[in-house]
Amino acid sequence: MASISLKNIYKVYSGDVTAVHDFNLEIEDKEFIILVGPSGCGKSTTLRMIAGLEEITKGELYIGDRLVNDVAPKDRDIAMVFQNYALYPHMTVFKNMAFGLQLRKTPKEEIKKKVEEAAKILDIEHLLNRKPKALSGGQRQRVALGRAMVRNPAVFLLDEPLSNLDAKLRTQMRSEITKLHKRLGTTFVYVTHDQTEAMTMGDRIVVMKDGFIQQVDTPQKLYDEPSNMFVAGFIGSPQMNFLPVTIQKDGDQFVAKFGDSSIKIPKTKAPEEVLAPYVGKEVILGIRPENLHDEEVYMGIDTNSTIECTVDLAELMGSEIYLYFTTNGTKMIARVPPRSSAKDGDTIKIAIDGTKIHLFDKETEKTICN
Amino acid sequence: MGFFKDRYSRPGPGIPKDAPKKKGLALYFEILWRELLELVKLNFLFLLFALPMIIIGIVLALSVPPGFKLFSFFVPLIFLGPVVTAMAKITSKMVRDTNHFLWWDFWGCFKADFKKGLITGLIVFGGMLLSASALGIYWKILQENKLLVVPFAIVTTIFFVLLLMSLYVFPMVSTIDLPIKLVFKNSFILSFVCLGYNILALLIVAIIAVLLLLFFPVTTFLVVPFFFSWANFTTTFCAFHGLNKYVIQGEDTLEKE
Repeated sequence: MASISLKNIYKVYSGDVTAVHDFNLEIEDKEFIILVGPSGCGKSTTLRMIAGLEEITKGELYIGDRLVNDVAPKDRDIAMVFQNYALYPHMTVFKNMAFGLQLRKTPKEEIKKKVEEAAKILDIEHLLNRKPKALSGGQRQRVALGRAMVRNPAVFLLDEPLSNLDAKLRTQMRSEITKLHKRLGTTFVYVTHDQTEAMTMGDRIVVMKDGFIQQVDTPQKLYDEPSNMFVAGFIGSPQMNFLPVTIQKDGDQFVAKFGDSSIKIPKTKAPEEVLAPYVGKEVILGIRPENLHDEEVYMGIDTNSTIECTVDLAELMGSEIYLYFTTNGTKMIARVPPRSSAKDGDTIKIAIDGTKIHLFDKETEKTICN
Repeated sequence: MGFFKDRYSRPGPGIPKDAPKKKGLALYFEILWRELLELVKLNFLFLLFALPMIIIGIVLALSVPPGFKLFSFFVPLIFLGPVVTAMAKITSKMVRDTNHFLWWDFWGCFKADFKKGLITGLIVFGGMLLSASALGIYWKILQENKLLVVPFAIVTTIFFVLLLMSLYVFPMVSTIDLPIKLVFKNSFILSFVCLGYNILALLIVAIIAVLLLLFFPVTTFLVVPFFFSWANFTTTFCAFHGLNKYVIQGEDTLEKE
């Protein structure tokens, strides 16, 4: 079991293409850490550098107390699970799982014991004598996990292992991987582009964009306190609504004005010295769909502001309704209870929960207040 | 790589945990198809180990007078007991749907059960060779002297009983930890209790063997890579019908891995 330390890691490809910039991260022993971001953000490259499959251009990588920059992948005590499983098609499940141990000249009795133990945990005992081509995607993924498990590594590296699975299977495998982590008590580094996976599985999430770390935090903090617009928009489904507003001061009350509407900024949101420099300037106001309400009970709350809008589309999701509407030329989404009577084309009032707004600097996109 | 990519990356139908297990011929062909490559490797392994005895047999056959050539060729083969036992170990694992490491299990069984396999082979193959030879002699004499029909019948019976028992002795020696006496006792009983399965297995193997001989040397490409391991697999498959039902029961049976 081991911690991982990435210090000032860079990855530069020929032609001066920098895939990863100054990556610094301390991963605790037994932690489940997730690297998340859009395609091309450098998350898989970072994972492959930890595995030793990519050379580190600059910086230091420690697994435990050991500097492993120049250590071969097979000697780093890591095990990797790939997106496309990478199972040997000519070998049975048993032999796929045993292969790594055979290469290490592990005694056959020990191989048998470890493989059967792993198969029992993953509930694939009935598949041991089968070949991968007969297995479903989820079964193959479990075999890939089993192959990693039998090596009893210090660190598990998982590179988008659920991407090739259908939605239902993904949900099932997500919980199985989470349970596996709890059971094994090993450090997991998991790469995904799916923010739902990231939010539900990780102890901490590293949000990446264009090779840079945007924010490292727990799922709840990332959701409630994003450090910039990218993180705010990336985390959460449906995406956070962004509204260009102008900060004005009405007595001692800060308000965010857009068109004829204004949104009160509660005093508890940010101290005056934080907002004062933005008076008269345009900033971006962010509000999550679930913090927009169409029910009467929310209209009268002191910290809430009300705007009028036209419903473009009411999308029935079963347990909730997504209202797509336009206000002052800006398209927004509200997530309202299923009993809402709003329909396409209706003019409705929406209450904005002022305590839940986020303000972002328009130029730097950094958070002013959460 | 791109040519094969879709074939290997496309997910399969999946195998449900509690799917009803196939039986009979369906199961036989399923295992046969799945283990085809392993059977080819096993056949080569068998031939490798049997080669010394085959060569000795050929040398003996060439150096004796014409009437004794066939007998002399088969004499060394009665020492193939350990090799057949090792082969039965692998085919038993295939039939029982458990993992096997081809070389490690084969060589391990060859060493561990060498003495038992040798004794078993000497009794079964030696007995079959002697009774077959006596059969031939009695048949020739029978044409002139009908009184020898009784010993002829006895010898024929011994030959066929040993043939039926051979289906069970080697899988049992390789799979279950029993004294040789009990192995032979169980084999004798199972030869008659599961007579239908036994005759079916022997018939299938015999028909294929005859066809291969009829079209020899064209069929060499089937014999060399495949025939012996396939024959052993087929007979072991049939044998395990009886072994699972009557011998391997609960925790009392000492089953070797």
